[in-house]
Amino acid sequence: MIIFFTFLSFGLLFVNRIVQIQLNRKTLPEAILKSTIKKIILFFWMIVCFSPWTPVLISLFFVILLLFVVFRLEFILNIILRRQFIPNMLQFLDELTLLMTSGKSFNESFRTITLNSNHYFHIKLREINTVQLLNVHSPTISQKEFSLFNQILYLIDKNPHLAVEKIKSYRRLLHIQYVFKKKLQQKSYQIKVQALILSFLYFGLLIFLNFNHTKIAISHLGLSLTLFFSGLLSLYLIGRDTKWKT
Amino acid sequence: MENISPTLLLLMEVRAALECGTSVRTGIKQFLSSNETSINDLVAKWILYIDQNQDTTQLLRSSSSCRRTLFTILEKGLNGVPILPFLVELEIEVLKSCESELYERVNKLPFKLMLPVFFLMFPAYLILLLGPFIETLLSNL
Repeated sequence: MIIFFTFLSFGLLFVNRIVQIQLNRKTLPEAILKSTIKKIILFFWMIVCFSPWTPVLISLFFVILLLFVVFRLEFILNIILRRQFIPNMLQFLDELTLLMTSGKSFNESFRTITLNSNHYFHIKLREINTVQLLNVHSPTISQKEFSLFNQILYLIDKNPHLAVEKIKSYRRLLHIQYVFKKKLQQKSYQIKVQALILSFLYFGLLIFLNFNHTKIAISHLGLSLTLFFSGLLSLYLIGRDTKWKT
Repeated sequence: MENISPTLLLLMEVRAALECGTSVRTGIKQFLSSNETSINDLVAKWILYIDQNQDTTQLLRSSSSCRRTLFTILEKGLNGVPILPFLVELEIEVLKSCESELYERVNKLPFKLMLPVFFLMFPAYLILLLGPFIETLLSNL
């Protein structure tokens, strides 16, 4: 037992080291992320020590999971960035407008907000600003979400006296998008929950009948499955809905 | 479903362009380049018709009243008429229309969701539950 825990501890230390090297290599100034990963490793170690299940399997699972997270860190962060783009941008634009109305220039306000932040969104913004200044190509700009913002930065660069108006109009556009997105999400959640509960009940029933040794004819099972999956497909199609009439 | 009505998006893009001191055409181009909506083709065709001095009534016949009004205003804008105040007013109307459409859809949703549950999923449960009993019953007869 002691040998096992010793091996496990060394293994986790080894994983931690790989994580740190990977993070440094990716030059992501994510101090928060590093400490979070350390906490996660500690948490996994606790689970592995106190869980009644096979510890080796659990530790292997968590190690693979962690390594996946680390090696695909940028990919995962980009997904989070895309999901949180509008709220983050709204907050950033609010701060920017506030600083600009207090008398600071656009570039100064931009730098004040983004320079000392470790937030991944701010890092991306900083990158866009640098790219704008150096006039080079960057993959961030080709991201759909940032393309409009990049164009606005370009327009502000051309006409700095209209900066506040441009930011305000962009903010209004984003805000309306956000409000409608939230309302539509309500609808999609309802469909998802319904589909999930019905699937859970159906497969639960199927497992129950199997454990009860109830013989179900193949034709009946096939028909039932076909009907059920057609139902799920219909729910999905209802969720997708048609285009806006307005 | 798109997050936002394409009509509203076009209106807001053109409004933003005008507020930034650029032209209506720039706003429309901005809309076409940065968005992939269901009306992109229509807008591209419409602007081509306008450039060729062709009648656009036939093209916009199947569009909603809000969309038709927007295109009428944009046509005026392309001819040099100042349209910003009209766009601001229309935006309020389009927003109201979008909200009511969304409200209507959300209200209809529970009824729409009931249909596949009753006609497809409920029979699937019944077949699974009662199938073996019916089979035994029939074999006993």
